[in-house]
Amino acid sequence: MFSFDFQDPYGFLCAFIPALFNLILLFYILFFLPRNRLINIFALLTLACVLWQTGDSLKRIVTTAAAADIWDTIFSPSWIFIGSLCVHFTLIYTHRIKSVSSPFTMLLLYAPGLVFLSLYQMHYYDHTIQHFPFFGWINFHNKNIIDITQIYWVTVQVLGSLVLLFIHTFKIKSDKLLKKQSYFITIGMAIPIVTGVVAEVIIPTLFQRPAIPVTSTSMSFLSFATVMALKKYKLFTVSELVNNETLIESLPIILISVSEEKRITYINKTGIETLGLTKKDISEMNINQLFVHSSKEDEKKFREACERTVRYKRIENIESALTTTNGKIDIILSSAPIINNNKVQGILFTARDITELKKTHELIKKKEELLEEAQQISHVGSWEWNIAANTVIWSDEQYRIYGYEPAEELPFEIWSKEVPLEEQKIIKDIFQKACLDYKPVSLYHKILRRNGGEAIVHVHGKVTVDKNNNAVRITGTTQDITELKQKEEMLQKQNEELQKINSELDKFVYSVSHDLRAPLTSMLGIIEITEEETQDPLIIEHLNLLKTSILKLDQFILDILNYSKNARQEIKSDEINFCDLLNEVIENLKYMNDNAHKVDIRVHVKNGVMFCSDKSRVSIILNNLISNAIRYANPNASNSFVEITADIREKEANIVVADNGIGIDDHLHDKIFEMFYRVSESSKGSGLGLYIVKEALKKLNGKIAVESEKGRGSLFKISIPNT
Amino acid sequence: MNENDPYKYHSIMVIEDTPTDRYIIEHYLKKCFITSNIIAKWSAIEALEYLTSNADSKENLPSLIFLDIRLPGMDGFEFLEEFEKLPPHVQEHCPVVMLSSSIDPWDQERAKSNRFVKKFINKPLNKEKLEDL
Repeated sequence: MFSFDFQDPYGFLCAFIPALFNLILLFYILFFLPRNRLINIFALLTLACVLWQTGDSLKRIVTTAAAADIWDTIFSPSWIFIGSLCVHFTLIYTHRIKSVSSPFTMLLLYAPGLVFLSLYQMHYYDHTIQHFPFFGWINFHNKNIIDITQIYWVTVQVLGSLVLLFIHTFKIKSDKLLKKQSYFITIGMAIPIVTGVVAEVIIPTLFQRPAIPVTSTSMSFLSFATVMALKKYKLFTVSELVNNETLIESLPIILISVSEEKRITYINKTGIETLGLTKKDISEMNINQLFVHSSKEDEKKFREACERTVRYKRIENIESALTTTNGKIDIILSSAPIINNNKVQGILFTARDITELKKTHELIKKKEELLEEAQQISHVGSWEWNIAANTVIWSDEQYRIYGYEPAEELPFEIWSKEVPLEEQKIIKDIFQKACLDYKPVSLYHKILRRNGGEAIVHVHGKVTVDKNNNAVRITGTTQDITELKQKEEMLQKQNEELQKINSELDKFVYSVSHDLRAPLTSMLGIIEITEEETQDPLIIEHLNLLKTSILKLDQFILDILNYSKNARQEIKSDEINFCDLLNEVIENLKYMNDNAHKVDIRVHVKNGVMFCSDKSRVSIILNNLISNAIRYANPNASNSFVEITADIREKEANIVVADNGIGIDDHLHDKIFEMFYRVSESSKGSGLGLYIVKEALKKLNGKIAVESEKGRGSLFKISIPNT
Repeated sequence: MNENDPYKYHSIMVIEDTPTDRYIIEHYLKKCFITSNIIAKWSAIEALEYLTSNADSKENLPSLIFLDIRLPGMDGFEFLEEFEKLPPHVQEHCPVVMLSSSIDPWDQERAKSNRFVKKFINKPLNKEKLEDL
């Protein structure tokens, strides 16, 4: 059996080379072509070819007839089934077997082959094998009636396939690609079939001579042509790869069919998964057991929909909530009648899980309500103007501001209907400009409410542009600021009135102080003249007393003037030169310091920094402190002095006014800054001086501190921030 | 002006409505040998009339004007505004000294910034205040 004779290798090569070729093809098919039923059968057909050709090649070169017979018997299934495989392939290719091949078809196709194979394997009849030069060992099939039947069975099958293919090819009209492919396959099949039938059936039958063994070799044409056709003309479209059943199973919607008595006949994968079931659950279940509705109303709605579907043979749509093992789900459900022979045989349910959708929807709804409420509370309406369509969408509050009832979409012109004519043009101009420069809009205008009354609104708008930089819409808000505006106007009016009163008061204070002081200065003038004219010591003494009283009264008036100035004048900021200011103050106090007991005034200014503050207030402060030092000089001291040290810094000015005057008792240090507080009846001032100092410093955000000892002198430390 | 004339100014106009104040001014002007020729005017309007009508006779024009701020009808500052409109030779001939009991810094500033005002004197007038005239 394994002794081979390579003396005459042509027969061997004729079969072996095609076998190798087909083997490569087979690998190619298995590894590179997509897999479906057609390809599977085709692969099987190619495998049969490989086996047939391998068997042939081995059989031809063995040394004995017995060995040839053994090889022939081993590989016989390949050629016995070749016809059946051809038919099977053709049936699938020409779509004659649709989705599922019925067992009956398969039996009809393969059973005869099985019978023939069994008989052949069992050597029920003698196999005739003879040796021929060039070809080697070859079978004779025309001796036994079973053997002949078997050959004709194969012949009929392959010819049948060929006919089917021809018909299929000619039937294709529209798809050129498909037609070309079909041609390829038909020609590929025609070559081995025609050669096979002629060489192995017709010639032996007519001429009573051995068959010419070329069929197995020419089978390579078929495989090659088919692979070429399938590959080159790409006929494995999605529709070829997916059958309808898989399609329905993997549809992302719930699909259920029920029989007339509501028994479940089909449920797809999505349905099982969504409802949280197993395949086992659904057998014997009816639709009411499958759908557990969350509420009685939902159940009723569903029942009625089913009834209507059956009665009126129409599609019904409902929304329902179901309780499943996965928890509560919301579905939208359609029920369609399944009609056969004009009678409703069952119902087809399609449903979609909208739990997430509904949650989102509810969230949006809630947010919308919140926004609407917020708008209502704050009297802010919102709007969107679609520029191209020239339509506007208004929020409910926007309607209310305009005095409308909330309604649907509006024409753009609606906004102008309730706006005074003269304001319309201004608003239009602003919006037209915004459409060109895309800048945010902010404007105020009046509305004559449709239901009466006037409103003032503040409008904000934002321009949205498309990718070509054209303004497509403006979104914005309208705030009802009527109340605010009214209050503002009232405030403005009150403010103006207050300012008027204030300025009148200023004028009044000024006039009064001036008119009060003028007679005093006249009196002082006369006293001075009289002093010069007389030598009488008594008169001089009287005049001095008069003078003291006049100065005291004058000081009082000045203090009141200063107090009112500090209380009401706005804080200004001027550059202050402390040397000049102190000189000015001291110069103005000269008259006080002109008596026998002269106080030595010493000034030290550490300058260098530009200092700004309210000059008039600083002047009042210094004037009061220095005049106090002069006024309360110790009459018993031989060298009365007041020492003013001003240290001007970047942040603040620190000024110390120190004297060796009569001093103040410790426990009075806090009281001296109070209004109208006077230490004793001998106090010469009005009791306003230090109070004014404190108040003025408060206005300037400054500070004051006092160190004083009765009989030794006082020291006032102030700091004024640089502004 | 006479060589032997001890007075500093040929004549001085005093615009002052208060008799006491005017008395004081006149007293010191004479006593300090400022002038003996006083043209007293009760109001600014009166003074303006005088200046206008005597604009062409240099002899009659005062060589100094004492001006009070608070005056009936037209106050000192209003007078200065009108003074602006007088012929330049009158303005040059008659420098103004402002005299007031006001210690309002703003009044002082306003007076000092006026180009016709030579000096600002706080009332009451006395010898020292007249010294540097």
